[in-house]
Amino acid sequence: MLYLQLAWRNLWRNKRRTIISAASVFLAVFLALLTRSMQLGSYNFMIENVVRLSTGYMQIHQTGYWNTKSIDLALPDDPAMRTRLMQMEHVTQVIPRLQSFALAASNQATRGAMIQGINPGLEDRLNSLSGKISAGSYLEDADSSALVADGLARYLGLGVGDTVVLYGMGYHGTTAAGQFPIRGIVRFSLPEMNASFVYLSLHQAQTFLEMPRLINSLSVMIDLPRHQTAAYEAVSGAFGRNYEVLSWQQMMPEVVQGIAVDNAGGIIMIAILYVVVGFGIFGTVMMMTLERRREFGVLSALGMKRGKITLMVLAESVLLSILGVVSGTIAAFPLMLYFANSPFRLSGEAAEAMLKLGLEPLLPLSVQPSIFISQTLTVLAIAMVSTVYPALVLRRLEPVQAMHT
Amino acid sequence: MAIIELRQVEKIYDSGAVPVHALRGVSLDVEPGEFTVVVGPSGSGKTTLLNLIGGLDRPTSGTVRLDGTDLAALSRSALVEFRLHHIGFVFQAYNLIPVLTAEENVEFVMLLQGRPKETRRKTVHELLKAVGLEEKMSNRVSELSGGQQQRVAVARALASGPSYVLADEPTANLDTEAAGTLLNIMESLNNERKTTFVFSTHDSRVVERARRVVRLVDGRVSEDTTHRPA
Repeated sequence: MLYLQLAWRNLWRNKRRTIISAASVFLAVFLALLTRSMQLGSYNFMIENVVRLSTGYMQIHQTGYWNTKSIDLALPDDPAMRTRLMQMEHVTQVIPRLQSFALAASNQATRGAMIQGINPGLEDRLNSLSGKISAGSYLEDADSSALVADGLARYLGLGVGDTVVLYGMGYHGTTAAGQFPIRGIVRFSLPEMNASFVYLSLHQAQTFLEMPRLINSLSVMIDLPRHQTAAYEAVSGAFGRNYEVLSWQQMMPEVVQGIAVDNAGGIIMIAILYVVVGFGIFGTVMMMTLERRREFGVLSALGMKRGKITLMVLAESVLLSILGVVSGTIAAFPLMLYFANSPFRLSGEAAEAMLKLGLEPLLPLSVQPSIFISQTLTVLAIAMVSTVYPALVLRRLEPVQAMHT
Repeated sequence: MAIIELRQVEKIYDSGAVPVHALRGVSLDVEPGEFTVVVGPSGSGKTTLLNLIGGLDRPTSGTVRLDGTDLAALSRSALVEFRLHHIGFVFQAYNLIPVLTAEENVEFVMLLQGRPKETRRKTVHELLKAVGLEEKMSNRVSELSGGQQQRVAVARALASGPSYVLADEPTANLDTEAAGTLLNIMESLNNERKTTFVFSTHDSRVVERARRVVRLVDGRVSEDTTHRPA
């Protein structure tokens, strides 16, 4: 305890220098926390979007479906299979979907559309689709009408109460054609979805595509992202022999790569920041060492081993870093928490870039504990590395010479 | 048995262009309980001699046995440990740890020795009382006068329970009154506790109190006189 007290008091021998050094650590930790929080927050948001609006954490398909997207590679819409999945650990939702391409037409225009056969109740629980209704109302389970994306409806010149004509290829080459009254208009911020999506109830889509009791994907949601591997192994173990089970990373490799590239860039920026701070801490420790050579000589003469003197200097360096880490965290945490709950809405080029990626232009911050842990460990590692110099000085320390410094 | 035994000790510094013979064949025995002063002009080898008997340096040739241990047999690390348990130091510039209080400075060496808290506390009180600083225990050393700081240094030197105490010019920075008080304390510690003191000094006040005076000239013992029986 006296060693710690000694280290703490030594730190305040030169208050100004300690405050300046701690302030540089504070600034680095503050900026690093915000930067990483923004990065990880945006990745989580991106993944959450992909998972909720598109793939789920994993999907079960007929083998070969994902690569060919062939409507003929279908799965049975089997309640027993869904029940079995729901009984697995970490699985929270199982969402059947039947998707296909078709032409959507009005009496004015025609455009390619993405037909989404959904279970309205399950889908709404997953991605709050009903909240995106801009006109009319949401689908019901046995609905015979359609929801049309806002962009597509405008292009076709259709509104609530009008009829959209869908025409495409059904199961095994049959012709799929149908007229569907528009029950609601759904608005997405993602241009691709806004320009092409048409929602039918699952039963209606099965009838339209002549695929009774068939679907082409079962999306699986889980409780926490960190349980994905365990859940994937369980689902894959149970259904992988007969079907293809793909994780969202396998289905969306471009998202994974985008995150990896951006993450590497962010880490490099933070590394540069920490190199600068590292020199600051090192400078302080070096000055403290050079100024106290005589004192170290006296301590050695009194019987304090070099290892213990080095530990004392290490404690000083660590305490200095902890000062910066704690103050930086205290300053950054409220901001992170606020923007985690009320994300930035981006505008201009940044917003366009996100829209091009198919994402809403939001920037929520993350407050996941790993951000704080990694920054703290990084600064402590810097503090430890910066004591290499005093350790080297102490290794060569001869008390007689040091006391005559 | 002598607590300090030097036999034909030579010390040559050859870091410069010309080797410097600091000690030339010095032989010396110090018995337990002695109150010995090493005197001599500047450059006579006093500090080198004190460094050797303080286990802070090694001789170029000859034998140095401290408390029965041959210095040559000890590794660097073992030498640090040896100093901790066998030798107390009082320096000219006090060399206390400035950020600690008087009692913490005295406690520090016992902490290095790993002695239990109760023992440390008891010894600190006892020693600071012996040097007349019981009232100043909780003061930072920067709040003490030079004489008081040197008394804390004496208490610190005794705290480890050393076989002998080396004092390098302990009164050089003190006024007459403070030096007198310090010498009284050291003398009474020598009388009452039989603590062995070896001084290096130019101060005639210290020489007058010494029971044995070893005079060095040009790295050799030129005179070794006992003033009063120990």
